[in-house]
Amino acid sequence: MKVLERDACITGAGISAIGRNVNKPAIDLALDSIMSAIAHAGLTVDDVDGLCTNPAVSETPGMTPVPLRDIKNGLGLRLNWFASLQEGPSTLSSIMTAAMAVATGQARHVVVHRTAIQYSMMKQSREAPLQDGAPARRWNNWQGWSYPFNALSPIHSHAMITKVRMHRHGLTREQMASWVLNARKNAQLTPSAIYRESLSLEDYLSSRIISDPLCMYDCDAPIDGSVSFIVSGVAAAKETRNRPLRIEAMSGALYGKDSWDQYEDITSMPARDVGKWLWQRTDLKPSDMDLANIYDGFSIQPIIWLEALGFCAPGEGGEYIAQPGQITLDGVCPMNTGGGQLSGGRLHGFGLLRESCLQLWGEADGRQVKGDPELALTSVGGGALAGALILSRQ
Amino acid sequence: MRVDCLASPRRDLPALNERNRFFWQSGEAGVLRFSQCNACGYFIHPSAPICAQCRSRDITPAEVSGRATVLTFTINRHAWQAGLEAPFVVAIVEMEEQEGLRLTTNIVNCSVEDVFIGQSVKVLFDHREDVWLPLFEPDLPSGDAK
Ligand SMILES: [Zn+2]
Repeated sequence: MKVLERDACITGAGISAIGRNVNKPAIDLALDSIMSAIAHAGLTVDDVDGLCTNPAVSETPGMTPVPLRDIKNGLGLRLNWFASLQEGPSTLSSIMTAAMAVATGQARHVVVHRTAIQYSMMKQSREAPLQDGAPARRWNNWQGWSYPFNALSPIHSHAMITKVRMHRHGLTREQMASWVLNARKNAQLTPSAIYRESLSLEDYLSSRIISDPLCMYDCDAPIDGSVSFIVSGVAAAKETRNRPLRIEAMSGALYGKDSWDQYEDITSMPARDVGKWLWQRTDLKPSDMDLANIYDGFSIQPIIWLEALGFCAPGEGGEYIAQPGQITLDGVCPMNTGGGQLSGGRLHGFGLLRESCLQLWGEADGRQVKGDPELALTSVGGGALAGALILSRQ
Repeated sequence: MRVDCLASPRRDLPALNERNRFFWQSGEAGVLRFSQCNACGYFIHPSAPICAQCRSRDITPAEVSGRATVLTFTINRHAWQAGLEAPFVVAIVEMEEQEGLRLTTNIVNCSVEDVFIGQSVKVLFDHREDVWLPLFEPDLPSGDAK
């Protein structure tokens, strides 16, 4: 099989101010991260000839506040190719589509951004409650099938996956805590992370349950911020200043129903399909990875992902993460080295991908993984959305 | 402490359209209906104009028993918005007619602590505006429920 994504590289990464006190319009956050990614790659705005993002629109306030048009026109870009994606395998679909664009020669250097202001928007909506006696709010799409039952947050789906995994596989809260506490330890070494105070097993176990068995520490937190990447073709990458991070393999497979409750195996969700297709595209194995940044919008997701990606057998994710010396910064395969989303803040997977890049470039400062890592796996998405890719500096 | 899980007082509602109206209004007649393929018998949910098993376009709503099993659930402890009282149970139930034919719903008319994976439940309806929401309650053999 010809694996054409290997003709695509990440050559630069940029980030805006992130957090809960950013106080900047979304377009400015997007421009800040885009300009910093372009500069990081050693390019100028005039070198950019591609532009991509996902999602294009969303009913969730602050989820995707910047139309691609505002960036095109704002920067006066001359684009050979662009796309604002809607239905795709997680937010990584924008990186994958950009990779396809550079691998087919449609563009040389594609800017891919992910910008969200969910924290500011949430704060606003809390301050304006609904009126008594008003007719019920109406919902289309998946919200129409869950909101009437007051399954109003993704925590309910993830709590139910956790519950059935505890029932079938003997997963424990202590095992889940080992992921959460590892992320927090790494966040303490990451200046931009939003939660950096120390967290103990006791704190975790005694925390208030939101939707059983998940507590506050099992959930990531909305923030405002923007992350951008430059995706370049292998030839064009020679013009950039960093060592190119080639895409060894990428996957956004979906073999079942695109649905939160109708996907046949609710313990695996489509992460399972992504894992299958990913390893068919490379001779590498999970044990070859020098580090991994695994989607952790909820603490159950890494357990689903690690089984789906073959780091351990189905049903053994809890035991895997709880093994001493496995996922820690000095472990066999360090994971969520920047604090993940649980402690780092919700950047919809782009924070995780940026962390993989920084580690491979040797730019992770106090949390740099030892041994000059060359291979990193990043997975993004929960529920019906899943995508993953392997970056290689070799 | 045992807490009764009543039908929650505050609910958002589905937007009705030509494809889902029969589903949300079936409860007016006290029955639950799903789209079914007349060629192969497969139930399709959410409703679609084509059968994902045999690709027949001959699809009509069909009444089901309303009996289901709790595939998984969660006891929600947080009041997400004004007018919503916790705790309540959110569950995914699987209909007895077909493996994988599921609904996200609430389990009501029992203590939240009494819900369990594998529990037999049956449908009842919560009528709001022009919608009959299918909720589920324990399906006790005697009929002498609470
Ligand atoms: Zn059929």
